[in-house]
Amino acid sequence: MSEVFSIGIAGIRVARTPHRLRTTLGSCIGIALYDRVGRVAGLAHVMLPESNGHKGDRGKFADTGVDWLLEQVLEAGASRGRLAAKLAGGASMFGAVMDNGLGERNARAVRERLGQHGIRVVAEHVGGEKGRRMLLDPANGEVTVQIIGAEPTIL
Amino acid sequence: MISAPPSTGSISMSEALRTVTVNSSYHASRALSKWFRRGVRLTCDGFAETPLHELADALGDADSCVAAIHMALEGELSGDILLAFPEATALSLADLLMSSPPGSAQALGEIERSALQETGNILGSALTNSLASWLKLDVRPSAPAVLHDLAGAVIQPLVVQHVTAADSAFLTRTEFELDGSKLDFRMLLVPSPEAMTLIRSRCQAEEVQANALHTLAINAAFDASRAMSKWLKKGVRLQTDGFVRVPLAQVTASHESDAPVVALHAPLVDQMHGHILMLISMRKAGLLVDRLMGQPDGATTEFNDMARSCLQETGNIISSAFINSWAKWLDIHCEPASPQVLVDLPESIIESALVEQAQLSDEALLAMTEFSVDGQWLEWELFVLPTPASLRLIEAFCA
Repeated sequence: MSEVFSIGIAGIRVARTPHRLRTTLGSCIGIALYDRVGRVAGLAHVMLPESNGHKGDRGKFADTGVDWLLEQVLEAGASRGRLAAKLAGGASMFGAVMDNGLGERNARAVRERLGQHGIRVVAEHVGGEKGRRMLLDPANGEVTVQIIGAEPTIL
Repeated sequence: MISAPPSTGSISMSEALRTVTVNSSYHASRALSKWFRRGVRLTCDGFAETPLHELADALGDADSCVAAIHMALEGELSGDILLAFPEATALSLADLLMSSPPGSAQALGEIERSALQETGNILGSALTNSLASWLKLDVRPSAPAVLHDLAGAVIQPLVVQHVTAADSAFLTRTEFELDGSKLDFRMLLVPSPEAMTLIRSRCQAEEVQANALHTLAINAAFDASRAMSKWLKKGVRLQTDGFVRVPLAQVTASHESDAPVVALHAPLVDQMHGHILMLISMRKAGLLVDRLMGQPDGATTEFNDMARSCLQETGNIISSAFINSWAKWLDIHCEPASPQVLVDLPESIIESALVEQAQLSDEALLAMTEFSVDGQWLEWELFVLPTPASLRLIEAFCA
Protein backbone atom coordinates (compact mmCIF):
# COMPACT_ATOMS: atom_id res chain seq x y z
CA MET A 1 0.00 0.00 0.00
CA SER A 2 1.22 3.45 -0.88
CA GLU A 3 2.03 5.77 2.02
CA VAL A 4 2.93 9.44 2.27
CA PHE A 5 5.68 10.08 4.82
CA SER A 6 5.82 13.54 6.43
CA ILE A 7 9.12 15.23 7.16
CA GLY A 8 9.44 17.87 9.89
CA ILE A 9 11.93 20.68 10.33
CA ALA A 10 15.52 19.42 9.87
CA GLY A 11 14.18 16.01 8.90
CA ILE A 12 15.50 13.74 6.13
CA ARG A 13 13.86 10.64 4.73
CA VAL A 14 14.30 8.29 1.81
CA ALA A 15 11.47 6.39 0.09
CA ARG A 16 10.98 3.99 -2.81
CA THR A 17 8.02 3.79 -5.08
CA PRO A 18 5.05 3.44 -4.39
CA HIS A 19 5.55 5.56 -1.27
CA ARG A 20 5.82 9.35 -1.43
CA LEU A 21 7.39 12.06 0.75
CA ARG A 22 5.97 15.39 1.81
CA THR A 23 6.93 18.45 3.80
CA THR A 24 5.67 21.98 4.42
CA LEU A 25 8.03 24.89 3.95
CA GLY A 26 8.32 28.56 4.87
CA SER A 27 11.81 30.04 4.75
CA CYS A 28 13.31 26.53 4.79
CA ILE A 29 14.32 24.67 1.64
CA GLY A 30 12.97 21.29 0.65
CA ILE A 31 15.60 19.33 -1.30
CA ALA A 32 14.31 16.48 -3.45
CA LEU A 33 17.09 14.14 -4.61
CA TYR A 34 16.03 11.27 -6.87
CA ASP A 35 17.13 8.53 -9.19
CA ARG A 36 14.36 8.21 -11.77
CA VAL A 37 15.55 4.82 -13.02
CA GLY A 38 16.19 3.33 -9.60
CA ARG A 39 12.85 4.78 -8.43
CA VAL A 40 14.36 5.90 -5.15
CA ALA A 41 14.26 9.41 -3.74
CA GLY A 42 15.05 11.40 -0.62
CA LEU A 43 13.67 14.62 0.79
CA ALA A 44 15.41 16.96 3.21
CA HIS A 45 14.02 20.02 5.01
CA VAL A 46 16.95 22.35 5.76
CA MET A 47 16.60 25.50 7.75
CA LEU A 48 19.87 27.45 7.74
CA PRO A 49 22.66 27.96 5.18
CA GLU A 50 25.87 27.12 7.08
CA SER A 51 26.65 24.64 9.84
CA ASN A 52 29.91 26.42 10.75
CA GLY A 53 31.14 23.30 12.49
CA HIS A 54 27.92 22.76 14.47
CA LYS A 55 27.90 19.17 15.71
CA GLY A 56 24.17 18.81 16.33
CA ASP A 57 21.38 17.99 13.95
CA ARG A 58 22.89 17.53 10.46
CA GLY A 59 19.53 17.95 8.75
CA LYS A 60 19.22 21.53 9.93
CA PHE A 61 21.86 23.11 7.67
CA ALA A 62 22.20 23.30 3.90
CA ASP A 63 25.80 21.99 3.77
CA THR A 64 25.50 19.08 6.21
CA GLY A 65 21.89 18.41 5.13
CA VAL A 66 22.85 17.92 1.46
CA ASP A 67 25.74 15.61 2.46
CA TRP A 68 23.52 13.54 4.71
CA LEU A 69 20.71 13.33 2.16
CA LEU A 70 23.18 12.17 -0.48
CA GLU A 71 24.56 9.46 1.83
CA GLN A 72 21.06 8.23 2.59
CA VAL A 73 19.92 8.12 -1.03
CA LEU A 74 23.08 6.29 -2.16
CA GLU A 75 22.74 3.84 0.71
CA ALA A 76 19.18 3.13 -0.45
CA GLY A 77 20.52 2.06 -3.85
CA ALA A 78 20.45 5.21 -6.00
CA SER A 79 23.08 5.60 -8.68
CA ARG A 80 25.19 8.71 -8.19
CA GLY A 81 25.42 9.42 -11.91
CA ARG A 82 21.64 9.45 -12.32
CA LEU A 83 20.87 11.73 -9.37
CA ALA A 84 19.05 15.00 -9.98
CA ALA A 85 17.69 17.58 -7.55
CA LYS A 86 14.62 19.79 -7.32
CA LEU A 87 14.19 22.57 -4.76
CA ALA A 88 11.23 24.35 -3.21
CA GLY A 89 10.70 26.85 -0.35
CA GLY A 90 12.88 29.77 0.70
CA ALA A 91 10.02 32.23 1.22
CA SER A 92 10.31 35.42 3.25
CA MET A 93 7.23 34.77 5.39
CA PHE A 94 7.59 37.93 7.48
CA GLY A 95 9.13 40.06 4.73
CA ALA A 96 12.70 40.09 3.44
CA VAL A 97 13.80 42.89 5.80
CA MET A 98 12.76 40.90 8.85
CA ASP A 99 14.55 37.68 7.89
CA ASN A 100 17.52 39.27 6.17
CA GLY A 101 16.92 37.38 2.93
CA LEU A 102 17.28 34.01 4.66
CA GLY A 103 15.20 32.08 2.11
CA GLU A 104 17.42 33.15 -0.76
CA ARG A 105 20.61 32.50 1.25
CA ASN A 106 19.32 29.01 2.05
CA ALA A 107 18.57 28.32 -1.62
CA ARG A 108 22.01 29.57 -2.71
CA ALA A 109 23.78 27.45 -0.09
CA VAL A 110 21.88 24.33 -1.21
CA ARG A 111 22.67 24.96 -4.90
CA GLU A 112 26.35 25.45 -4.09
CA ARG A 113 26.62 22.26 -2.05
CA LEU A 114 24.80 20.20 -4.64
CA GLY A 115 27.14 21.70 -7.27
CA GLN A 116 30.16 20.61 -5.22
CA HIS A 117 28.81 17.05 -5.40
CA GLY A 118 28.21 17.40 -9.14
CA ILE A 119 24.44 17.14 -8.82
CA ARG A 120 22.27 19.16 -11.20
CA VAL A 121 19.31 21.19 -9.96
CA VAL A 122 16.80 20.51 -12.71
CA ALA A 123 13.91 22.56 -11.35
CA GLU A 124 13.11 24.86 -8.49
CA HIS A 125 10.24 26.83 -7.02
CA VAL A 126 11.76 29.21 -4.45
CA GLY A 127 11.33 32.72 -3.06
CA GLY A 128 8.21 34.85 -2.66
CA GLU A 129 6.38 35.43 0.61
CA LYS A 130 4.11 32.38 0.80
CA GLY A 131 4.49 28.97 2.39
CA ARG A 132 4.59 25.82 0.25
CA ARG A 133 3.50 22.24 0.48
CA MET A 134 5.95 19.93 -1.31
CA LEU A 135 5.20 16.36 -2.40
CA LEU A 136 7.85 14.09 -3.95
CA ASP A 137 7.05 10.94 -5.91
CA PRO A 138 10.06 8.57 -6.24
CA ALA A 139 8.32 6.82 -9.15
CA ASN A 140 9.35 9.57 -11.56
CA GLY A 141 10.97 12.28 -9.42
CA GLU A 142 7.91 14.46 -9.88
CA VAL A 143 7.59 17.24 -7.29
CA THR A 144 4.23 18.91 -6.70
CA VAL A 145 4.41 22.33 -5.08
CA GLN A 146 1.33 24.00 -3.76
CA ILE A 147 0.91 27.53 -2.51
CA ILE A 148 -2.35 28.32 -0.70
CA GLY A 149 -4.88 29.85 -3.07
CA ALA A 150 -2.96 28.85 -6.21
CA GLU A 151 -3.05 25.87 -8.58
CA PRO A 152 -0.38 23.22 -7.83
CA THR A 153 2.82 23.45 -9.86
CA ILE A 154 4.47 20.28 -11.12
CA LEU A 155 8.28 20.35 -11.22
CA MET B 1 24.27 27.84 23.95
CA ILE B 2 20.85 28.39 25.36
CA SER B 3 20.65 26.88 28.79
CA ALA B 4 17.54 24.94 29.61
CA PRO B 5 14.90 26.49 31.80
CA PRO B 6 13.99 26.21 34.48
CA SER B 7 17.47 27.55 35.08
CA THR B 8 19.18 27.71 38.39
CA GLY B 9 19.17 31.07 40.03
CA SER B 10 17.88 32.87 43.02
CA ILE B 11 15.05 35.29 43.38
CA SER B 12 14.08 37.34 46.38
CA MET B 13 11.75 35.97 49.03
CA SER B 14 8.96 38.33 48.01
CA GLU B 15 9.34 37.24 44.37
CA ALA B 16 9.28 33.58 45.40
CA LEU B 17 6.16 34.14 47.50
CA ARG B 18 4.59 35.98 44.61
CA THR B 19 5.52 33.17 42.23
CA VAL B 20 3.82 30.65 44.45
CA THR B 21 0.63 32.66 44.92
CA VAL B 22 0.36 33.71 41.28
CA ASN B 23 0.57 30.09 40.19
CA SER B 24 -1.98 28.99 42.76
CA SER B 25 -4.38 31.76 41.74
CA TYR B 26 -4.01 30.58 38.18
CA HIS B 27 -5.06 27.05 39.13
CA ALA B 28 -7.95 28.39 41.18
CA SER B 29 -9.04 30.53 38.19
CA ARG B 30 -9.15 27.44 36.02
CA ALA B 31 -11.22 25.53 38.55
CA LEU B 32 -13.66 28.40 39.06
CA SER B 33 -13.99 29.06 35.31
CA LYS B 34 -15.05 25.43 34.84
CA TRP B 35 -17.51 25.68 37.71
CA PHE B 36 -19.11 28.93 36.49
CA ARG B 37 -18.68 28.02 32.80
CA ARG B 38 -17.51 31.60 32.41
CA GLY B 39 -14.15 33.29 32.23
CA VAL B 40 -13.07 33.89 35.82
CA ARG B 41 -9.71 35.38 36.65
CA LEU B 42 -8.12 35.65 40.06
CA THR B 43 -5.29 38.02 40.79
CA CYS B 44 -3.13 37.89 43.82
CA ASP B 45 0.05 39.75 44.58
CA GLY B 46 1.60 37.47 47.13
CA PHE B 47 1.62 37.41 50.89
CA ALA B 48 1.47 40.77 52.63
CA GLU B 49 2.17 41.47 56.25
CA THR B 50 -0.90 43.33 57.47
CA PRO B 51 -0.94 45.29 60.74
CA LEU B 52 -3.58 44.36 63.30
CA HIS B 53 -5.50 47.61 62.96
CA GLU B 54 -6.01 47.05 59.22
CA LEU B 55 -7.23 43.48 59.51
CA ALA B 56 -10.79 44.40 60.45
CA ASP B 57 -11.26 46.06 57.07
CA ALA B 58 -9.57 43.32 55.04
CA LEU B 59 -12.95 42.17 53.74
CA GLY B 60 -14.12 45.70 52.96
CA ASP B 61 -16.18 47.95 55.20
CA ALA B 62 -16.28 46.17 58.57
CA ASP B 63 -19.92 47.26 59.12
CA SER B 64 -21.23 45.85 55.84
CA CYS B 65 -23.23 42.65 55.76
CA VAL B 66 -21.57 39.83 53.84
CA ALA B 67 -22.11 36.22 52.93
CA ALA B 68 -18.90 34.38 53.69
CA ILE B 69 -17.58 30.90 53.26
CA HIS B 70 -14.99 29.75 55.73
CA MET B 71 -12.68 26.77 55.41
CA ALA B 72 -10.24 25.85 58.13
CA LEU B 73 -6.95 24.39 56.90
CA GLU B 74 -5.26 21.63 58.81
CA GLY B 75 -1.88 20.00 58.37
CA GLU B 76 1.45 21.70 57.75
CA LEU B 77 -0.22 24.48 55.74
CA SER B 78 -2.59 25.31 58.58
CA GLY B 79 -4.68 28.46 58.63
CA ASP B 80 -7.93 29.74 57.19
CA ILE B 81 -9.53 30.65 53.91
CA LEU B 82 -12.36 33.12 53.86
CA LEU B 83 -14.33 33.99 50.76
CA ALA B 84 -16.79 36.85 51.20
CA PHE B 85 -19.17 38.84 49.05
CA PRO B 86 -22.05 41.29 49.57
CA GLU B 87 -25.46 39.70 50.04
CA ALA B 88 -26.71 40.84 46.61
CA THR B 89 -23.68 39.25 44.91
CA ALA B 90 -24.27 36.01 46.81
CA LEU B 91 -27.85 35.91 45.51
CA SER B 92 -26.85 36.60 41.89
CA LEU B 93 -24.15 33.96 42.18
CA ALA B 94 -26.77 31.46 43.33
CA ASP B 95 -28.91 32.38 40.27
CA LEU B 96 -25.93 31.90 37.96
CA LEU B 97 -25.05 28.51 39.41
CA MET B 98 -28.63 27.23 39.32
CA SER B 99 -29.20 28.64 35.82
CA SER B 100 -32.13 30.67 37.15
CA PRO B 101 -33.08 34.06 35.66
CA PRO B 102 -31.32 36.94 37.46
CA GLY B 103 -33.26 38.07 40.51
CA SER B 104 -34.78 34.64 41.22
CA ALA B 105 -32.95 34.06 44.51
CA GLN B 106 -34.44 36.38 47.14
CA ALA B 107 -32.87 35.09 50.33
CA LEU B 108 -30.02 32.87 51.43
CA GLY B 109 -32.05 29.71 51.84
CA GLU B 110 -30.75 26.18 51.99
CA ILE B 111 -30.29 25.79 48.21
CA GLU B 112 -28.48 29.12 47.89
CA ARG B 113 -26.22 28.28 50.80
CA SER B 114 -25.40 24.95 49.28
CA ALA B 115 -24.41 26.60 45.96
CA LEU B 116 -22.16 29.04 47.82
CA GLN B 117 -20.66 26.26 49.91
CA GLU B 118 -19.72 24.34 46.77
CA THR B 119 -18.16 27.47 45.25
CA GLY B 120 -16.03 27.91 48.36
CA ASN B 121 -15.10 24.27 48.29
CA ILE B 122 -13.94 24.33 44.65
CA LEU B 123 -12.05 27.57 45.01
CA GLY B 124 -10.46 26.79 48.36
CA SER B 125 -9.43 23.29 47.34
CA ALA B 126 -7.90 24.42 44.03
CA LEU B 127 -5.95 27.16 45.77
CA THR B 128 -4.68 25.13 48.70
CA ASN B 129 -3.91 22.02 46.65
CA SER B 130 -1.82 24.08 44.27
CA LEU B 131 -0.03 25.85 47.11
CA ALA B 132 0.57 22.59 48.91
CA SER B 133 1.93 20.91 45.82
CA TRP B 134 4.30 23.79 45.02
CA LEU B 135 5.54 24.03 48.55
CA LYS B 136 5.46 20.30 49.22
CA LEU B 137 3.39 20.84 52.33
CA ASP B 138 0.56 18.71 53.58
CA VAL B 139 -2.86 20.39 53.84
CA ARG B 140 -6.38 19.20 54.63
CA PRO B 141 -9.14 21.75 54.06
CA SER B 142 -12.23 21.31 56.25
CA ALA B 143 -15.79 21.31 54.91
CA PRO B 144 -16.83 24.87 54.09
CA ALA B 145 -19.20 26.72 56.42
CA VAL B 146 -21.44 29.55 55.21
CA LEU B 147 -21.70 32.62 57.44
CA HIS B 148 -24.02 35.56 57.02
CA ASP B 149 -22.84 38.43 59.15
CA LEU B 150 -20.93 41.72 59.37
CA ALA B 151 -17.58 41.71 57.54
CA GLY B 152 -15.72 42.86 60.66
CA ALA B 153 -17.32 40.12 62.73
CA VAL B 154 -16.62 37.34 60.25
CA ILE B 155 -12.91 38.01 60.16
CA GLN B 156 -12.33 38.44 63.87
CA PRO B 157 -12.13 34.81 64.97
CA LEU B 158 -9.54 34.14 62.27
CA VAL B 159 -7.39 37.05 63.21
CA VAL B 160 -7.49 36.48 66.93
CA GLN B 161 -5.82 33.10 66.75
CA HIS B 162 -3.05 34.38 64.48
CA VAL B 163 -2.07 37.54 66.29
CA THR B 164 -1.65 36.29 69.82
CA ALA B 165 2.09 36.36 69.36
CA ALA B 166 2.37 39.28 66.95
CA ASP B 167 0.85 42.61 66.02
CA SER B 168 0.35 41.62 62.41
CA ALA B 169 -0.67 38.68 60.24
CA PHE B 170 0.42 37.46 56.80
CA LEU B 171 -2.37 37.16 54.35
CA THR B 172 -3.04 37.08 50.64
CA ARG B 173 -5.84 39.14 49.17
CA THR B 174 -7.28 37.89 45.93
CA GLU B 175 -9.40 39.84 43.50
CA PHE B 176 -11.83 38.36 40.99
CA GLU B 177 -12.93 39.21 37.50
CA LEU B 178 -15.77 37.66 35.53
CA ASP B 179 -15.67 38.21 31.76
CA GLY B 180 -13.29 41.12 32.29
CA SER B 181 -15.38 42.97 34.89
CA LYS B 182 -14.32 43.20 38.49
CA LEU B 183 -16.43 41.09 40.86
CA ASP B 184 -16.97 42.18 44.43
CA PHE B 185 -15.65 38.90 45.81
CA ARG B 186 -12.91 39.03 48.37
CA MET B 187 -10.82 36.15 49.46
CA LEU B 188 -8.29 35.95 52.23
CA LEU B 189 -5.83 33.19 52.86
CA VAL B 190 -4.46 33.51 56.36
CA PRO B 191 -1.73 30.96 57.15
CA SER B 192 -0.95 30.31 60.80
CA PRO B 193 2.41 31.72 62.00
CA GLU B 194 3.81 28.16 61.97
CA ALA B 195 2.64 27.62 58.39
CA MET B 196 4.09 30.98 57.35
CA THR B 197 7.49 29.93 58.69
CA LEU B 198 7.27 26.72 56.66
CA ILE B 199 6.14 28.61 53.52
CA ARG B 200 9.12 30.94 53.81
CA SER B 201 11.54 28.08 54.24
CA ARG B 202 10.08 26.16 51.26
CA CYS B 203 10.32 29.28 49.09
CA GLN B 204 14.07 29.02 49.38
CA ALA B 205 13.94 25.59 47.74
CA GLU B 206 15.59 25.38 44.35
CA GLU B 207 12.46 24.30 42.53
CA VAL B 208 10.48 27.37 43.54
CA GLN B 209 13.41 29.60 42.71
CA ALA B 210 13.83 28.00 39.32
CA ASN B 211 10.25 28.55 38.35
CA ALA B 212 10.58 32.30 37.97
CA LEU B 213 10.70 31.92 34.19
CA HIS B 214 7.58 29.79 34.19
CA THR B 215 5.78 32.37 36.29
CA LEU B 216 6.78 35.11 33.91
CA ALA B 217 4.89 33.35 31.11
CA ILE B 218 1.89 32.67 33.32
CA ASN B 219 1.72 36.28 34.46
CA ALA B 220 1.83 37.47 30.89
CA ALA B 221 -1.01 35.10 29.97
CA PHE B 222 -2.99 36.50 32.90
CA ASP B 223 -2.51 40.08 31.77
CA ALA B 224 -3.31 39.18 28.18
CA SER B 225 -6.54 37.42 29.21
CA ARG B 226 -7.62 40.55 31.01
CA ALA B 227 -6.95 42.70 27.93
CA MET B 228 -8.70 40.22 25.64
CA SER B 229 -11.75 39.98 27.92
CA LYS B 230 -12.14 43.74 27.78
CA TRP B 231 -11.64 43.85 24.02
CA LEU B 232 -14.10 41.05 23.22
CA LYS B 233 -16.45 41.87 26.11
CA LYS B 234 -16.41 38.15 26.89
CA GLY B 235 -14.66 36.07 29.50
CA VAL B 236 -11.47 35.03 27.75
CA ARG B 237 -9.23 32.62 29.59
CA LEU B 238 -5.70 31.82 28.55
CA GLN B 239 -3.90 28.68 29.51
CA THR B 240 -0.19 28.20 29.32
CA ASP B 241 2.31 25.71 30.66
CA GLY B 242 4.96 28.40 30.58
CA PHE B 243 8.17 27.84 28.63
CA VAL B 244 8.76 24.42 27.17
CA ARG B 245 11.68 23.02 25.22
CA VAL B 246 10.70 21.15 22.07
CA PRO B 247 12.94 19.43 19.50
CA LEU B 248 12.81 21.38 16.22
CA ALA B 249 11.36 18.46 14.27
CA GLN B 250 8.45 18.22 16.68
CA VAL B 251 7.47 21.89 16.93
CA THR B 252 5.15 21.70 13.95
CA ALA B 253 4.12 18.07 14.47
CA SER B 254 0.68 19.01 15.77
CA HIS B 255 0.11 21.32 12.81
CA GLU B 256 0.35 18.81 10.01
CA SER B 257 -2.79 19.76 8.23
CA ASP B 258 -3.70 20.97 4.82
CA ALA B 259 -5.75 23.80 6.25
CA PRO B 260 -4.31 27.30 6.09
CA VAL B 261 -4.66 29.51 9.14
CA VAL B 262 -4.78 33.19 9.86
CA ALA B 263 -1.58 34.26 11.61
CA LEU B 264 -0.86 37.50 13.42
CA HIS B 265 2.85 38.02 13.58
CA ALA B 266 4.54 40.73 15.63
CA PRO B 267 8.32 40.97 15.85
CA LEU B 268 9.69 42.05 19.23
CA VAL B 269 11.95 45.08 19.13
CA ASP B 270 13.94 47.22 21.58
CA GLN B 271 15.58 45.36 24.47
CA MET B 272 13.97 42.03 23.70
CA HIS B 273 13.90 40.36 20.31
CA GLY B 274 11.93 37.48 18.91
CA HIS B 275 8.47 36.74 17.64
CA ILE B 276 4.95 36.73 18.92
CA LEU B 277 2.82 34.56 16.72
CA MET B 278 -0.90 34.00 17.02
CA LEU B 279 -2.54 31.33 14.89
CA ILE B 280 -6.30 31.23 14.44
CA SER B 281 -8.26 28.78 12.31
CA MET B 282 -9.86 30.45 9.28
CA ARG B 283 -13.34 29.75 10.60
CA LYS B 284 -12.67 31.21 14.04
CA ALA B 285 -10.90 34.22 12.56
CA GLY B 286 -14.01 34.88 10.47
CA LEU B 287 -16.23 34.58 13.55
CA LEU B 288 -13.93 36.91 15.48
CA VAL B 289 -14.27 39.54 12.76
CA ASP B 290 -18.07 39.05 12.75
CA ARG B 291 -18.23 39.62 16.51
CA LEU B 292 -16.00 42.68 16.40
CA MET B 293 -17.96 44.20 13.52
CA GLY B 294 -21.34 43.36 15.06
CA GLN B 295 -22.25 41.17 12.07
CA PRO B 296 -24.15 37.88 12.09
CA ASP B 297 -21.93 34.80 12.45
CA GLY B 298 -20.64 33.63 9.07
CA ALA B 299 -20.86 37.05 7.41
CA THR B 300 -17.09 37.26 6.91
CA THR B 301 -16.18 35.14 3.92
CA GLU B 302 -12.92 36.79 2.93
CA PHE B 303 -10.17 38.63 4.74
CA ASN B 304 -10.44 42.05 3.14
CA ASP B 305 -8.81 45.22 4.49
CA MET B 306 -11.52 45.77 7.10
CA ALA B 307 -11.33 42.18 8.37
CA ARG B 308 -7.54 42.32 8.44
CA SER B 309 -7.65 45.54 10.40
CA CYS B 310 -9.95 43.92 13.03
CA LEU B 311 -7.57 40.96 13.34
CA GLN B 312 -4.56 43.22 13.45
CA GLU B 313 -6.03 45.18 16.34
CA THR B 314 -6.73 41.94 18.21
CA GLY B 315 -3.12 40.88 17.66
CA ASN B 316 -1.98 44.28 18.81
CA ILE B 317 -3.93 44.08 22.06
CA ILE B 318 -2.79 40.62 22.93
CA SER B 319 0.87 41.03 22.04
CA SER B 320 1.06 44.38 23.85
CA ALA B 321 -0.44 42.83 26.98
CA PHE B 322 2.11 40.00 26.88
CA ILE B 323 5.06 42.22 26.26
CA ASN B 324 4.10 44.91 28.72
CA SER B 325 3.75 42.25 31.38
CA TRP B 326 7.20 40.85 30.58
CA ALA B 327 8.80 44.26 30.40
CA LYS B 328 7.37 45.15 33.79
CA TRP B 329 8.70 41.99 35.41
CA LEU B 330 12.08 42.16 33.74
CA ASP B 331 12.37 45.92 34.08
CA ILE B 332 13.23 46.40 30.41
CA HIS B 333 11.89 48.35 27.47
CA CYS B 334 10.22 46.25 24.85
CA GLU B 335 7.53 47.04 22.35
CA PRO B 336 5.89 44.72 19.90
CA ALA B 337 5.76 46.18 16.41
CA SER B 338 2.36 46.35 14.76
CA PRO B 339 1.32 42.81 13.82
CA GLN B 340 1.04 41.69 10.22
CA VAL B 341 -1.75 39.40 9.09
CA LEU B 342 -0.78 36.30 7.09
CA VAL B 343 -3.02 33.62 5.65
CA ASP B 344 -0.85 30.59 5.08
CA LEU B 345 0.08 27.08 6.21
CA PRO B 346 0.74 26.92 9.98
CA GLU B 347 3.91 24.86 9.55
CA SER B 348 5.42 27.40 7.14
CA ILE B 349 4.72 30.25 9.53
CA ILE B 350 5.99 28.60 12.71
CA GLU B 351 9.11 27.35 10.95
CA SER B 352 10.06 30.85 9.88
CA ALA B 353 9.80 32.14 13.46
CA LEU B 354 12.18 29.42 14.72
CA VAL B 355 15.16 30.41 12.62
CA GLU B 356 17.05 32.49 15.20
CA GLN B 357 16.82 29.84 17.88
CA ALA B 358 17.75 27.09 15.43
CA GLN B 359 21.10 28.76 14.83
CA LEU B 360 22.20 27.84 18.34
CA SER B 361 20.16 24.84 19.33
CA ASP B 362 18.41 21.78 17.97
CA GLU B 363 15.52 22.57 20.25
CA ALA B 364 13.13 25.49 20.39
CA LEU B 365 12.22 27.20 23.62
CA LEU B 366 8.77 28.60 23.42
CA ALA B 367 5.77 29.54 25.49
CA MET B 368 2.51 28.42 23.95
CA THR B 369 -0.85 29.71 25.10
CA GLU B 370 -4.31 28.44 24.30
CA PHE B 371 -7.57 30.36 24.62
CA SER B 372 -11.10 29.70 25.77
CA VAL B 373 -14.21 31.86 25.90
CA ASP B 374 -16.91 31.01 28.40
CA GLY B 375 -15.38 27.59 28.94
CA GLN B 376 -15.18 26.72 25.22
CA TRP B 377 -11.73 26.20 23.76
CA LEU B 378 -11.02 28.33 20.74
CA GLU B 379 -8.92 27.23 17.81
CA TRP B 380 -6.37 29.88 18.75
CA GLU B 381 -2.76 29.45 19.74
CA LEU B 382 -0.20 32.00 20.70
CA PHE B 383 3.54 31.39 20.55
CA VAL B 384 6.19 33.53 22.18
CA LEU B 385 9.63 32.83 20.73
CA PRO B 386 12.45 34.97 22.12
CA THR B 387 15.77 35.04 20.29
CA PRO B 388 18.78 33.43 22.03
CA ALA B 389 20.12 36.83 23.12
CA SER B 390 16.77 37.75 24.65
CA LEU B 391 16.61 34.40 26.37
CA ARG B 392 19.90 35.19 28.05
CA LEU B 393 18.43 38.48 29.19
CA ILE B 394 15.43 36.71 30.72
CA GLU B 395 17.65 34.12 32.34
CA ALA B 396 19.92 36.81 33.74
CA PHE B 397 16.89 38.28 35.45
CA CYS B 398 15.87 34.92 36.81
CA ALA B 399 19.40 34.27 38.06
